[in-house]
Amino acid sequence: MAPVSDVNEVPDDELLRRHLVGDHEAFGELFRRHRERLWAVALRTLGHPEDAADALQDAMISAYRAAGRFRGDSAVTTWLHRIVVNACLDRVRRNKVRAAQPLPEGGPEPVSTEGDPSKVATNMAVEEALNALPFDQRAALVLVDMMGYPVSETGRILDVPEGTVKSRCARGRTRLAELLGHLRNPDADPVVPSTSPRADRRGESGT
Amino acid sequence: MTAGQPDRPSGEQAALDAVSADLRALSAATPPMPPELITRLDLALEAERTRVHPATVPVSRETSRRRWPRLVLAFTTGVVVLAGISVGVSALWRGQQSDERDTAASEPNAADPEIAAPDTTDEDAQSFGAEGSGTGDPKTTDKSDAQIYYSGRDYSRATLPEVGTSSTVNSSVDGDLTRLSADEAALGACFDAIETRYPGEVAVADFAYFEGSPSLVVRVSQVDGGGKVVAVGAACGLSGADELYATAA
Repeated sequence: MAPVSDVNEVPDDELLRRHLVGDHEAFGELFRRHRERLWAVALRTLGHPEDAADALQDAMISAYRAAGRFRGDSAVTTWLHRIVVNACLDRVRRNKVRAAQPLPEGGPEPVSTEGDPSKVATNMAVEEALNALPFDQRAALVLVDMMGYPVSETGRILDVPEGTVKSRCARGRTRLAELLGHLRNPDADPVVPSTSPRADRRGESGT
Repeated sequence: MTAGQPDRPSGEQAALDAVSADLRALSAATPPMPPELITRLDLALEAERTRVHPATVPVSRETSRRRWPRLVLAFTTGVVVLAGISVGVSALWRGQQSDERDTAASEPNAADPEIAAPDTTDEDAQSFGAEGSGTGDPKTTDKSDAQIYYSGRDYSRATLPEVGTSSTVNSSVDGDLTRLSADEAALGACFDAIETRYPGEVAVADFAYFEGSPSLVVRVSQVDGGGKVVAVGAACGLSGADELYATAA
């Protein structure tokens, strides 16, 4: 086993193997290595920091417990992303059941409010539009357009064929172009939902 | 051209490319993981390590299996105390007290007459709860154990922090919750799921309602010194905590 000082150079699959043989630090190191990207996926997929935090914790515990079922068919990071996306989907379903409950007021915004005010406003509009998409389209766009993953890897994360990823991305982008049309052409009639996507997102986030 | 896009008129394609650019800009504005979340995940992972490797990590929490008999005792004790008050037979069970002390000898507060109550089955206790009402709080034999209430109260977000303060035992357990009330393993799994999400220990649990839905409302004493009140649904423990709502205690 490599000394602690070399742990940063230990490959992901080796950390997972060490976890399975009882190395108490290995899984923590593995998760720390990827958690910022996993957090970003959860945050952008769910659109709400508290939900994203819950999903990320659920995913972390699931991965910890299910490590023995990792077969090595994909990269460890792909496997972790898949677990996070599934945890996000679980949370969307739960929230859908509880759609009648209003969101708490004053919740934190998942968009940084620092910087150019016009960019901040644009980002908030994009975020709201993104949250109005069905979950499958949103997840595909988050992984491909926001996180920059190749379509092939996104397909493995979402456990769907590449063609399905492409079609979800295409439909999602088309819908976003409609929703955000007013940002490009302020004189045109904006094609926006009749109600704020944020107000409805828990209820209409389809699966 | 955006990956995965079929050929489109240039104007439409430009709009789609602009969407992708917007998404990249939004991605760049993603805030980093909050420090408190990092702490929370570290605590959850530590709790999970404790759960999975109990022999190699110092453990202070009890397993739910060991905890369960105390939970039953807490509930039955509370109900029986109520029964004793309402039908005026307290003298009768005081007469049995010496025997009960032997039964509960391993419990620190077993000498307390309210703890050393006569044996009562869950069925007895619940049938009483279904038929009668009264006042009195469930007791436990150890401050670290969960107190179980069967208030049947319909909590709101505002009243959730009041869990454990109710003095009324006035209803049977809602049918949806009987899996948890009747099966020690199920309730233990539910507590485990809650404690996984909120590292700490369930201190109070109340079979009740939350905003009209059957719910087990629990107070968790967290390992970081804080507290949470969590309303969970009837599926608690099956796949996660089935959390309905949580707030600071």
